[in-house]
Amino acid sequence: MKLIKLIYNELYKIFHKKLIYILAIIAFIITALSGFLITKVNNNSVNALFIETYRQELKDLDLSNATNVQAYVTMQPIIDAYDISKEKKLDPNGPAQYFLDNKISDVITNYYNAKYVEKNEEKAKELEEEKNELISKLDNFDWKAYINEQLEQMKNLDEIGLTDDTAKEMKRVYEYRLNNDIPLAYTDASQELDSYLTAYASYDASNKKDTKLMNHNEKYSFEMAQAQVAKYQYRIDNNMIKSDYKAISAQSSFVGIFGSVSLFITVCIVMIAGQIVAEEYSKGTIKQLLVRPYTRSKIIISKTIATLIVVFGFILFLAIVEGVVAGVTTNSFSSLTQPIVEYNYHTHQVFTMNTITASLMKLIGILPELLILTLFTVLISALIGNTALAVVLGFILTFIPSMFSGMIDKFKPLSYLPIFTWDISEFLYGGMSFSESLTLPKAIGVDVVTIIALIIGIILVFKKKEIKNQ
Amino acid sequence: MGKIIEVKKINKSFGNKQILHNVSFSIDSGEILGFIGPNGAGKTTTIKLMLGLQSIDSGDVIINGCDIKTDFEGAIKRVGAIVESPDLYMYLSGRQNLQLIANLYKGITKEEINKIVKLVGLQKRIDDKVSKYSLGMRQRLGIAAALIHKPNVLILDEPTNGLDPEGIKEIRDLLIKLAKEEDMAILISSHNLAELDNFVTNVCIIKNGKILSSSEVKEFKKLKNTTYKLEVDSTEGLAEVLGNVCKIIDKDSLELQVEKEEITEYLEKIIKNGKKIYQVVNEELSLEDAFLNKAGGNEID
Repeated sequence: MKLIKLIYNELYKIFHKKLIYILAIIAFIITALSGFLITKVNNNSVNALFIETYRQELKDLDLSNATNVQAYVTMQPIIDAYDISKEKKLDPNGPAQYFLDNKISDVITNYYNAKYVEKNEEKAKELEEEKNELISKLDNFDWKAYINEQLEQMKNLDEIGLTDDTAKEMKRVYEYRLNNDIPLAYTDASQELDSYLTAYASYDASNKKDTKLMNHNEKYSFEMAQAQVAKYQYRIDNNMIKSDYKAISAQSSFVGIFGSVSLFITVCIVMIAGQIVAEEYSKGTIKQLLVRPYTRSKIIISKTIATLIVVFGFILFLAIVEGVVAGVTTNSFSSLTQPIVEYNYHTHQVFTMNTITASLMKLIGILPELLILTLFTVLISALIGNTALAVVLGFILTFIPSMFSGMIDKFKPLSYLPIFTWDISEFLYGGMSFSESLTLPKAIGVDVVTIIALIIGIILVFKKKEIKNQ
Repeated sequence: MGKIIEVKKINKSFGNKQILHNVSFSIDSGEILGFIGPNGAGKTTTIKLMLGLQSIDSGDVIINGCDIKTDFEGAIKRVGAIVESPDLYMYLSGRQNLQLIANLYKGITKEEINKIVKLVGLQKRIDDKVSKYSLGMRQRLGIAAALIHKPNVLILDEPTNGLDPEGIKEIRDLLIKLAKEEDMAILISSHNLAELDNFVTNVCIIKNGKILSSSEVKEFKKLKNTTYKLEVDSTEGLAEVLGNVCKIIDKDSLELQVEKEEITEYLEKIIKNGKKIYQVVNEELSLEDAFLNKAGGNEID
């Protein structure tokens, strides 16, 4: 009960300072700005200026020179494709443009090669006819007909005994496209399906190897690919990749915030934890608190808890800002009700959960890091009574892992450092770590010991700390 | 039942340097103890030890029957204090500061806060940010913060710093009222004795970490011989006649430090020496004179 009064007062003080609001405003502005920029940049249209440069270069080119011919054969097809797209007024992200870029462009390139490099007039003429025929398809482009054509070709291959798993998956994806109205185009849904095929290909390649002969890195990559493929397959089996699927959605942005201790979260932790004790000492206000009927342990515990409450609140705030910005920019608020697919590495089963559960699970993954970073900064703040130094040291701590993570497997004792064990996200559903020296029991053991040691340290330091004479 | 505050033989060292040597004193309810000493004598350190802000090397501080070392919450519960300067949260208003402190105790109502604000005379500026306060206003707010939970012990470290003479008088009247009406035990430290004169009931003099003297003010003033100031036609040769009780000020005035009963005897000696006496004034000893006599200068070692 007494602790609650103290925590309330600590929160009252934090929320009456400008610091937290400045942090929130900066986070909001940057998130909103980057959210809108991504939607602007995420556009497939070719830069007109770039094409203009090509045109200038090719102008009055002497084609008797072999080098010039090579340049011409490389650049002219790009200019042609651009002109065709402009002439037909193609949607830069649409299936016709995709068809132009992936099919017609090849034919155009081959045509120029035949004509100017190989100097094979007959072949060039054939290719030109093929090219013109394909271009004519661009008007009212029927992507379904194109996919059916592809499927028809596969059928023939099937008859001659094609059993390649990757080809089977390709066929499945084509069928999925037809059923779910997802053309081959520059849409997130289409790219998601393409990503599945890429993931499957790499999985399929490792799947042919004996896992017993794999080293840690190979096993780790294989497990990751396995999980990825299983998750994709579950979503395809359950028609979860809809034609309006957005890679960046309200849901992915909201949940994503809980997945890692990002820069903003780190800033919030070290700023709040760095000042919570040190500032009161340097300004002398701590005396008002210490001459009240509360033990020092209660005071420092309340300060630590208040810091954690603010940090969790700030993470939620960031998630909401990210979620709302993504929801507005990609019109994807409906994604929040979609289930999220995860993979259990032990049972090799896929399961689903809702947005809130997924966020909480991700939060558990970074919880040790949040706690250790907060407690460490509070300890420094109490120990040296200097806000700036506590903030700087807190920051340094967060950057060490990225600097040395490559060295853990070469120098095993490093793996006992909490900075390498504090992210348990990889272990959440039974997965393995990127490092062979890290296991879940070891990580949790190191984290728990560190957290307890830090709490004891903070209480001892604060209890022993004397109010120096001014 | 002991006194409300008992400080028993406390010692404190910083490194090799011993700051306090067996400091002892006590304060009872209704008493105002003037804790006097030059800068660096150990006043603030003593207060910090009493309030648990620094650890005690040896000795005890008992407040309201509770030992500050073993029962901090019990001992500090009914204590109000200002240490060094009234450090309050600058980014909050005076009222918000008081509210934060009120939150830490049970059942302090808004009316009670208003009453305290009025008592220290801050009602007009209480909703302004403390960063806009003058030092005197902060001092008043500090006293309000110390009084808000109705303590029976008040420990004030140089509370009149930054106050104008009128402010000092107001604080003085307030403390006298609190001691009398609320029966509080008050400790007030100062290096400025003039301020404490006619106001404290007891004095305790500390120098170089040692208590030099501790007694009631009445007793304290009696300790010294009374001073008589004399105006004569000439002081020539009087020093030899009168001996070491005499202090020649200039060619026609001198001071005698003698008991009341002895003064006639000395006046006779002067007349016999052929001098004329124009005036004899009995100068009452101020607390400051008494202190300077006892503490003997301000050197810090």
